[in-house]
Amino acid sequence: MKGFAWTSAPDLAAALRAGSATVAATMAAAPGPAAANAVILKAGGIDLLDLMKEGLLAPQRIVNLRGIPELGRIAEEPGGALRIGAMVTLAQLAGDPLIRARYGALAQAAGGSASPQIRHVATLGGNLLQRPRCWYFRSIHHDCARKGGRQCFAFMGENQYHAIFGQYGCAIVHPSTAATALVAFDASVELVGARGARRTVALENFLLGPEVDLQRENALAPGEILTAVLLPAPKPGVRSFHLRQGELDSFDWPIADVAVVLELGRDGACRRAGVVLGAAAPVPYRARGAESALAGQRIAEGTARSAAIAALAGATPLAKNAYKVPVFEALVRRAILGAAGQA
Amino acid sequence: MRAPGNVPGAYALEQMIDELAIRLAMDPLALRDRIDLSAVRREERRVGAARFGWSRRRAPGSDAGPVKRGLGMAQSYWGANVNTNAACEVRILRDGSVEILSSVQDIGTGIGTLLAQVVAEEMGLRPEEIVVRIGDTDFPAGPPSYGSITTASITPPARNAAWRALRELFEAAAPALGAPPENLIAKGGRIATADNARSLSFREAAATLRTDRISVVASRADDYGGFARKMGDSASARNALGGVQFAQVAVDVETGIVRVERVVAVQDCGRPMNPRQIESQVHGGVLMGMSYALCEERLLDRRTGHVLNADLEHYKIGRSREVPEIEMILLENYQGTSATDAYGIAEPANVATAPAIANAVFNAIGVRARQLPMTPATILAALGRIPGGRARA
Ligand SMILES: Cc1cc2nc3c(=O)[nH]c(=O)nc-3n(C[C@H](O)[C@H](O)[C@H](O)COP(=O)(O)OP(=O)(O)OC[C@H]3O[C@@H](n4cnc5c(N)ncnc54)[C@H](O)[C@@H]3O)c2cc1C
Ligand code: SF4
Repeated sequence: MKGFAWTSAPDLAAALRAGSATVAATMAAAPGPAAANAVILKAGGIDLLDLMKEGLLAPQRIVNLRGIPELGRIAEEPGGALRIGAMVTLAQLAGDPLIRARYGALAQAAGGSASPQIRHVATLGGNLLQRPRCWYFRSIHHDCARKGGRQCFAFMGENQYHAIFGQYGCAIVHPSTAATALVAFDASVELVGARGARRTVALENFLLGPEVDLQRENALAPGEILTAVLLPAPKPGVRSFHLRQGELDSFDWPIADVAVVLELGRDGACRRAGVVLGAAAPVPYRARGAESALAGQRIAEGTARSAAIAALAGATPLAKNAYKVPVFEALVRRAILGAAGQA
Repeated sequence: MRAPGNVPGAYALEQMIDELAIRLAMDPLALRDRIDLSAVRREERRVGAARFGWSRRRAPGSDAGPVKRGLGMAQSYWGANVNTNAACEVRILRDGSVEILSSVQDIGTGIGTLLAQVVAEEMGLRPEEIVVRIGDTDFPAGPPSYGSITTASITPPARNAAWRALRELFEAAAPALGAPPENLIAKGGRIATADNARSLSFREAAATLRTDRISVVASRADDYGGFARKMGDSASARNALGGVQFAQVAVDVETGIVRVERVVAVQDCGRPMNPRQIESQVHGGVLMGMSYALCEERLLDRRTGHVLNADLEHYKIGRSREVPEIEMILLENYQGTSATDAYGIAEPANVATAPAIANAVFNAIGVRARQLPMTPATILAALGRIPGGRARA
């Protein structure tokens, strides 16, 4: 790890003045340890330090966002929407009474991620903006397409943890587990640009698949800071559930995770369903087939089972990850029943 | 991965014996009673089966839901090995302090504690009164810390050196006690006449030395009655070690996840010297065996030759949530073959775990994972649940 200069931003204005570059653009411009000379933002620092230790990034200056009080709050807006500051940790999300009551799947997704140590340091903003974990991407020996090289090593190589959907030239899975639940809740992100301009983008549109851009996972612009995640006010009758399955239950990544948000009518029928798969595709994968299979139906074992099959229809597994298909089918079915309180 | 050679060998052999028992419609324990000549393992099977509740074992697939439970067992193979290039020096200093010096290394197994125990026992002192100096090649040769040979190699010379140093102390203190040296004993921190009529504290006895110290070096003698094999510094005792383990697993046939719920490990290592430390070694052996069974795998990229998971994030070993309930039963197997009669425990406790888990997986789901590790990909492929049917198995 190389030396770097350090700025601890006291407020958002100071952080914006620092003129940060995005990690993705820095790495694409000069892959390997040469990815230097950039001003890089730091939240919890879990992913940033990993990239530095892996020799993939050598920032010239690090700007710490952890000391900005306004980014660390969870607040209910008038009208019932929830605003979660970007520096709120995964542990806070998992433990927050309001989030547990109204957005249960998000609390479950955050609370099941990584390990207790990591959850107490990792922030929601950093979690959404972390770079993928593909081992070729993380290796300085592999100049892969996402880092500006010419090939994807995963297609012909070790791809047991890679995507089963949407591998357009790159087969990463999006690393954020929280994002799975957030997309299911139709969350948005709030971004503030270098000149103070604020924009709000649906998370689903903010995260970019390789068919849109092979070298970055999101639409963060240079100099921009992610300030908050916005959750719409919960509709009446909404119930949610998140399930993850790792090879190990502790200190491990999921091989599959599923968030289900059901809007149940008084008659028990499902008015609207959100079914999103994590660790399945380069972005959280919205299983539209499953969503429409559930719409208008009463939730029972049979409906859950057919929705699960619909969710996996069209999967395009690679040589070593077809096992994920049955794992996802089980998880989708169980998460639907879990959301309906029938698990 | 640990206990090189034997762990993969036992994984195959012990599953074959399980399979043979099923073909013969015999209980796997009964089959082993017929074909296994080891009297130690026979007794270990008996006490282990009783503690584990082997009689609760049911036919594969007996559970109705997606999570199937199963019970399995397997046996260990590991020699009682010794390195004879093992020596230590024991010093009694005129100020009453006692030191043991050897270049043996403590890589976390607690050999320093055992050395203090042995010397203290011989001298009638408490272990904390012994100064242990190890890990320096300036000291007499110590055995390497591998092959589960350390305790068997270095504790007998520690006792012999302590015994001889004490004789010299008796010689020095005899006039002051008005008794011949062969009539003296060391007990409770004192050097006393055998009838306990007169005594000196250890420190007072040491003060009678003519010079600043007694120093005795002893090295590992051959086992009484000789070794079974000896080549250079390496020797194998006449009796091998046993070891029988029982495992209970839960297999989710929809996700392919295997979780080990309980392991009963029946182990022996000659004369146990420190049950706490032995239990810790058994826990280590079982956890490493479980990781080998369920998740450890070095992944080499075939096209570029780089190892892809050379870190503890992707080279997976069982972690806190994966730890099963582990129960150890220690079979004390006195043979009187050396000054401490102690043999190895570490790797012997590692060999049987993976095949015991694999046999339990078969008992749970009725198919065998012939490949390691038993990840969801392996299990789902064995169950024929992967679309296209390929992937790994
Ligand atoms: C063993 C292990 C297991 C893990 N398992 C999981 C898991 O199961 N699920 C999961 O989701 N994650 C998992 N993680 C990843 C971990 O959760 C992330 O690394 C962490 O959430 C990143 O958050 P951070 O605050 O530390 O981000 P940082 O490392 O500080 O930042 C990440 C990136 O975002 C940028 N950034 C951060 N905040 C902002 C902002 N507000 N505006 C603009 N840019 C910003 C930084 O420049 C950097 O590029 C695991 C990690 C490990 C090591
Ligand atoms: S999956 Fe993406 S990140 Fe991984 S090697 Fe292929 S291009 Fe690179």
